[in-house]
Amino acid sequence: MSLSPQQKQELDDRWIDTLLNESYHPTTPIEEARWSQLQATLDRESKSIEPNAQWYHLQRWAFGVIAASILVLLGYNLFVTNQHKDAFAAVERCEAARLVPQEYRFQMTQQAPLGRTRRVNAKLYLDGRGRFVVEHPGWLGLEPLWIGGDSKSRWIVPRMGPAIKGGETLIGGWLARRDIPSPYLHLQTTLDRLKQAYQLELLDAGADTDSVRASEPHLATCQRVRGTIRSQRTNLPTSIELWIEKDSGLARRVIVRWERNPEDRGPLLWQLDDVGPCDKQDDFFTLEGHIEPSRRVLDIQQEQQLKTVEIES
Amino acid sequence: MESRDLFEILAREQAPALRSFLRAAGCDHATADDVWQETMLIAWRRIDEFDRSRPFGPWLRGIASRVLMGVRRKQAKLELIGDENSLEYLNRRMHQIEQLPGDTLDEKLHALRDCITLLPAHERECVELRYQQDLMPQGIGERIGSSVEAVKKRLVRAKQHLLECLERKVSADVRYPV
Repeated sequence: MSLSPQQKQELDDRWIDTLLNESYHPTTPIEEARWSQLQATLDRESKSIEPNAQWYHLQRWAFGVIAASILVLLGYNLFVTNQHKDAFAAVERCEAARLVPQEYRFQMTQQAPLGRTRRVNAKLYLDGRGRFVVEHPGWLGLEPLWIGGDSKSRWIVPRMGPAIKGGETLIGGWLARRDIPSPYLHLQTTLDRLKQAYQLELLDAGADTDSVRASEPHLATCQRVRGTIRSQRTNLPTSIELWIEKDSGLARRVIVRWERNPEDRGPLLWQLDDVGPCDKQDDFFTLEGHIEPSRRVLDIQQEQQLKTVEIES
Repeated sequence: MESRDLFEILAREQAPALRSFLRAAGCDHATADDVWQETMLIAWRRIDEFDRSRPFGPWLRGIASRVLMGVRRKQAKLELIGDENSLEYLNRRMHQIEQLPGDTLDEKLHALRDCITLLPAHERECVELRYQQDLMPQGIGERIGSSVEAVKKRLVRAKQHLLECLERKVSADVRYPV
C-alpha cells in the first residue's frame, strides 16, 4: 500500500472525524428507514426472479415423472435446464457489473419496405447509473440526433426544431414507431427482459465465425449467453446474445435480432460493441447538456401532443 | 443457513459501519445514501460469492469502494476519495474498529468514548462543542474565548490523541496492520 505519511494522516483525520460524529449522533433510526427502503427494492428484485425459480422447480418435477419412461428425454432436458441456470447466473453477473460507465459502437441494421436493408452506425454511451445517450447520425445522415434517457424517461434532441422530453412509454413508443425500440438501449432493461422472457444457454464464445472474427480474440475468452424468445410475440426480438467478460462481468458485445416479414419495416439486427470506458461528464447524460439554453423544449405529457411533433433530422 | 438469510443478518450488522466508511470517504448524505443502496444491492446479488470463512465487513466495503470509484470517475467535482489505496486504508481502519468488543458499531464506539474522557480538559471541551453541539471552530472560539486557529489546533491534537488511544485499545485485542 503506497500512501505517504501525510496521506495517511489525512485519512486518519477523516476516519476519526466520522467516528466522533457517529459516537455523538448514532444513526440507528435513520438506518432503519434506509433498511426498509432497501428491503422494498430487494423484494421487487426477488419477485422478478421468482417466476424463473418456480419454473426450474416445475421443470425438475416434470422431468422426474417422465424419467420413469423416457430416460433419454430426461437427460436432454436436464442438460437444457442446467444450461439455462448457468447462463442466467452469467446474466446476473453482468447485471451486477453494469455500474461501469461504458461506450459502445452501435450498428443498427434496419429493414425498409420491399425487403431492403439499411445500416446505421451510431454510438451508445452508458453512465453506469442507468442513463444512456445515443449519438445517432440522423435519418438523413446530416447531423447527429441525440437520444437519451433512463428506465423511466426519454429525451430527443433533433437537428432542428424543439427538443422533446417525456416519459418512457410515450416517447419510447414514438421512437419505436420510427424503428428505434429504445428499451434495448437501456442495458438494464435488456438484461431484465433476457432473464424473464428468454430461454438461455451458454455457448462457446469463439465458435461462431459469423459473430466473432479472428481479430477479436478478446471475445473468445468471454462467456457467451444466447437467449431465445420463449413465446413468439412479434414486437420482441427473437434472440439476444451477450458476450460477458469473465473477470469483470462487463458486456463486451450485445447482439439483438428480430425476425420480420419482407414487407415489414423495423429493426433487424442491433450490435453493440464495447469501445472502452466512457469519460463523459454528468451533464452529457442530460437533455440540457445537448442544447443551447435558449432552445425550446417540449415536455410531452400526453399522446395527443406527440401528434403535433415533427422531428426533422 | 440460506445465503439470502445470511445476507440479511450480516448486512444489518454491517450497515452502520458501511455508512461511516462512506462518510469517511467524503460522501455527503445524499451520495452516501445512493452508494449504500447500490452496495447492498450488489452484495445481495453476489452473496453466493462471499467466502463465509472471512469477515463480511471488509468484503462489503470492498464492493462499496468499487462503487465509489465509479461515482468518482463520473463526478470528478465531488470531493470523494476515489483511489483504491486510500479506500483500502480506510477499509482496514474500519476493520480495526470491528475488532473491538461489542455487537454493534455503537457498542464498539464505547472505546472511543473512553478515550474522550482521557483527553486533557481543554481538548475534550473542544471535541464536545464540535461534535456534540455541532459548533464550527469560530463558534467554539467565541464560546471559550480563543482564536479560530487555536481551536483548530486543539481539535487536530485531540484527534491525534484519540487515534493513539484507539490504536492502543485495538492492539490490546488483536493487531491488524494498516
